[in-house]
Amino acid sequence: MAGSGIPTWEEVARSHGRFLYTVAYRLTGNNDDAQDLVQEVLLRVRKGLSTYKPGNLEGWLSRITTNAFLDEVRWRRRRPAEVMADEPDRVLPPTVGADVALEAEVFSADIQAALGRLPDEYRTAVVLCDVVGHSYEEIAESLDIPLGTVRSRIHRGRAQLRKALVSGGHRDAG
Amino acid sequence: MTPDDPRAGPSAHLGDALSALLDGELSDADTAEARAHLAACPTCEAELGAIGQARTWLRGLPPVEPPADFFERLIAGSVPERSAGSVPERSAGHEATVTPLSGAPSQRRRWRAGVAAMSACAAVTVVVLSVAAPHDPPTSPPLGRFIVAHETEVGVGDPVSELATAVVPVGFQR
Repeated sequence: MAGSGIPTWEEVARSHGRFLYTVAYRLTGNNDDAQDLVQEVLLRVRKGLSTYKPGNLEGWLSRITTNAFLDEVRWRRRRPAEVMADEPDRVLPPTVGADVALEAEVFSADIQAALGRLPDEYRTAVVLCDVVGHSYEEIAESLDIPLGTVRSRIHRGRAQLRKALVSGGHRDAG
Repeated sequence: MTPDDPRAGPSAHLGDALSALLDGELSDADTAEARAHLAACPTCEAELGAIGQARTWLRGLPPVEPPADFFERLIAGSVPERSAGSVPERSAGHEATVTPLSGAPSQRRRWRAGVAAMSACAAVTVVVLSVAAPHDPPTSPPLGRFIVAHETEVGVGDPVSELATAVVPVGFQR
């Protein structure tokens, strides 16, 4: 940290890199997009550090990350010709063997795949709540949406995700 | 269980209040009311179980590891294009089976170039030249040769060499 208590973007990258990468990966669902998103976030961090007030750095980073992600989503929607083809990583891998640990790992990929199929707005709310651990109020502030909308998106996101995983035969309902 | 439970019509079901209940986002009064409803409504009780399961799965997702040295290379301004085959999950290696996307390279370059440029701005001219020049042959040779020639003639430390640092981002297709 610099003497002012405001970190440089390099320090943010070093101290919160894994946090940023995890959020980015859960939002985008693959390594390349996660890397691009992280880089975009760090660009915004660099620009925004001068106005950053020392406090909840992770909250600030989460807000930047989700906004950058949603900006990217909107950018793609405006350019349908450049929308990516079917995304191969969204195809669920076959369930493997009886090894419980292995099954847990595969299931983690299944959850990510199901997360990736949620509408972007639901996924963003769910990631902020269940991956980042933010309160509804923090999410409402980050996404600039009403508290009731946050609640609704989180609930619908979880419901859809669970339905996808159970109906997909990847995990028993119990 | 029927959608039209006589004890509680569809409109009376808890819906997204179930997620809020699980997340501790209901007031004490609303929590008590929700619990009273749950005790008498198997539909909501079943939904609570399903939502709780999805919530547990999501919260159990492991942190995601960025590719090795990703942030250090980013800081050094030398992140290579793509990183196929890297392992995203620290403890869940099977998510490495995800296949990186092949689309939208131009945008990736846009972002990557931006961060590289912001690294370049912070770096010593000589370092920037050694790192950046080999990565951008299509557009930078004239500028790169100029900078290198200038560097050779003037040497590091001369005030004029600061100009070379300032124009390096142009070489990154900004």
